[in-house]
Amino acid sequence: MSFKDVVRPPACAPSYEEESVKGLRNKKRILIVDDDPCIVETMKDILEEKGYSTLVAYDGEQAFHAIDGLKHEYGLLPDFILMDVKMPNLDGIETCMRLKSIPAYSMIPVCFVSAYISMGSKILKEDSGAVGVIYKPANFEALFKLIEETTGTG
Amino acid sequence: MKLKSDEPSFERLRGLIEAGAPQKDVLGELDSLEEELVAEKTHLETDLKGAHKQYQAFFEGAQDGIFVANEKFKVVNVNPAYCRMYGFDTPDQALNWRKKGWDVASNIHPDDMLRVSEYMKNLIEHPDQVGSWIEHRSRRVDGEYIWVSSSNEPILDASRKLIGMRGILRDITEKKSIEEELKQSEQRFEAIFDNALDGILLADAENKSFLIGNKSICQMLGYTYEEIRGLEVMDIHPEERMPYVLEQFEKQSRGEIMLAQGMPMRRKDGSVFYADINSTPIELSGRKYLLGVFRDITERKRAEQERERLLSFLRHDLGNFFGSVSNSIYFIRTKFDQWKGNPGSVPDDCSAKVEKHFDIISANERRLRDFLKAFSNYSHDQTDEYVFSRCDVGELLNSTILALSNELDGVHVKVINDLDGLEVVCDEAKIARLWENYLTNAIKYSKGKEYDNLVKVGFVDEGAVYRFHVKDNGIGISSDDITKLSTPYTRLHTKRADGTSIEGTGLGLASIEEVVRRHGGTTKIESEGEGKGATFYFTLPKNVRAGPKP
Repeated sequence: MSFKDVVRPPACAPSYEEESVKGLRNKKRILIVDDDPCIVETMKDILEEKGYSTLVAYDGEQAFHAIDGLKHEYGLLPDFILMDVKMPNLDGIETCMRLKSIPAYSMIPVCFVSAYISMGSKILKEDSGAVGVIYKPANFEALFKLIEETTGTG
Repeated sequence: MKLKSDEPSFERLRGLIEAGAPQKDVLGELDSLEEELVAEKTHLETDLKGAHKQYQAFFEGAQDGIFVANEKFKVVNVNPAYCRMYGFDTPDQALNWRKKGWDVASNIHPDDMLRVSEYMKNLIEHPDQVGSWIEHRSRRVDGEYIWVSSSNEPILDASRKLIGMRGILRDITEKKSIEEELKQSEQRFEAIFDNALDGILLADAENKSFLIGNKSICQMLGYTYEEIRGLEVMDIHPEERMPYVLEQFEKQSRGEIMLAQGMPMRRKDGSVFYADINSTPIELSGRKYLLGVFRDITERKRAEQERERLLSFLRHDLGNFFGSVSNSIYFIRTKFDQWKGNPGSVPDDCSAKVEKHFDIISANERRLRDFLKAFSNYSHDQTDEYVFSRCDVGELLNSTILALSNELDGVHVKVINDLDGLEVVCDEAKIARLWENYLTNAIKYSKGKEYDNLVKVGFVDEGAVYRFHVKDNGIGISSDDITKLSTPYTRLHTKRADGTSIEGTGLGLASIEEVVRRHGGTTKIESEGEGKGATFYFTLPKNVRAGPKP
């Protein structure tokens, strides 16, 4: 797949090939939520290369569709969510706060991805329930460490 | 001493005559009576002389001018003070002025004549009002006018015919001059107060009511002068911000702070704007007041918010560009390290994946270049001095079509120019870029090269403005997205029917908006929905003027 083939998925429940479903069940599932297709695509490759399975969404609304679809179709939830802060339709902070208000989803660790360094403390102060913030360009070693710390060894 | 018929002398004389007293006794009594009468006359003459002397002393020594005039208003008697007032050396000089005597009526200032005539007429008709005073100008012998305050009394005969007048005059020229100076000073103050661009309010520091406000504050708040006087601090700020407003007011009253920045202000119609309030506590007649100078900072705040939005937009986009590139480099390095560690074992998809990430780096380099060009243009649109001249906007459009011919042909976009040599006063370079932005937009949002893509550019003469339209038959805009486009730097995440994404910088429309605003015009976007094309409108005033820099 080349970059020019990168298109947004439809805003509906995701469907996966059998192999992918197996991957979703056996590996830690990371949901990447970002409105920039390049960020999504590069994050996806890096995380998959590291051994995680990935789901993608391009705004907050699509993130809910992806989580709902995963739960209803396969009885699974993402183990970790990487969430861009500034997005159209439903931004990252609002999406995170809504997730935390839904008991079934409230335990999913959310880490914000921001291009704006001073945004970090603001986000945490607003008690959105995020476990951390990483800044673009990302420090992946720190990100992998955070994923492992917050998702356990299962 | 007075003599009356019932006085003892008369009584005694009457008694003697009625009793038939001897003639000798009657004559004796008569002699006695004569003596008494002579003594009385002498006494009266002495009194009269004294009174005359007193009157003369008063007349001569009075500080006010006193005159008596005949029925022709020529003076027949004047005192020394009157002479000094009017510039006569002696009273005789006044009495014999041009052989007829000084005329008290014809030397009244022409502008005051009617008022003084009314005053005299009123005195003749209402004698009870004698003693009232009138201020008017009166000419001296040297031709100069002095201000006098005079109290006059008409002299009437038994048939109430005017036979003369008398009056007292006081020179009030100096007082009038001070009053005039004070008036001018007040007028100067009022001119400064009312013509100040900043709003000014004087508030009672204790009860927080307003005593006076200038024209600017009335305009800012939408009240009249009279209405402002009846208001209090609480009436001109939003209720929910009142604790903060009152805290600032108290601090300013105590002189702890002078400037209260970005204070929310509430207009009469309930709308809110922001102002910086610079204040000074002052004391008038022992009472404390706060003089506040209000500067409307709405435009500044708008510009600040605009800048903040732009910065946030820049941070986000640059973060994404560098984030993507950095991620791809990280991925390629990971793959490279794996290969280096075990050169004999290269996964099947390695080459394709690495190639994909090189594509991502190239795409981001392209995006960054487009973005920087658009941002540079937009910055120039905001900060450049606009140079206005009459130019053919249709010709400018033709030049732009020519410059973009490769791109237009590439997606089969045909542009119909209906501007037909229309000349408009505008900044030529900026309008050329405006056409470039509109056409680039039309290319970007066309349905694709397999369609007949058409862009029609025309105008309507609406009197004060030309309303231009750029109508395309491209992919259209949903009503939700039209609402979003009212926010600056909005980038729509749009796809063509074939699923390909359309990448915009988000700065093209912002640039158009800025150029039109600086020309004093407005913009508007209409679309019947997705797939139904879009029409972009903008106006250019015929009497164009430069808009403010942000």
